[in-house]
Amino acid sequence: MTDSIAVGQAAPDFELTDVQGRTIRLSDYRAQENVVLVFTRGFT
Amino acid sequence: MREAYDAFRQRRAEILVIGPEGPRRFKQVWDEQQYPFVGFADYKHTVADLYGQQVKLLKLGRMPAMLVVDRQGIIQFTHFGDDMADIPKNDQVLALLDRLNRLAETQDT
Repeated sequence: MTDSIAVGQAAPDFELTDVQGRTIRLSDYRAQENVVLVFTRGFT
Repeated sequence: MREAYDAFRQRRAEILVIGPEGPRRFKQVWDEQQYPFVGFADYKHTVADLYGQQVKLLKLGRMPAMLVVDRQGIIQFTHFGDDMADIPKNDQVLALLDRLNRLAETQDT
């Protein structure tokens, strides 16, 4: 799967529940906003 | 990044932060810090794995990663950190967003 993560490729869609309890899909932002995806290593 | 959040929002960008903690721990820290971003506890690591976030077992942890996805859903920037502090500068990402927005405007007209 990692091979498809490259500039110029479509971002794989996903769905997660955010801290407010909202179900959010990456594709919700399409045609609306740019998205900066930040993966943290954790808060500890 | 928190200080620059307004600058990101002005560039029609939302910041989605994805962490490996369980939902309760994630929300606890999120509320304590009052982060303005959209935050997700990806405790099953499904999205992190989907996006190939590097895990360095010998260093006991996940390495930071950042991607920029434009309004067409296309990846325009990837950065997979080599160490815990290896994250792109805000200015670099803001400049990219400016370019993407200019490009989108020319395509719209």
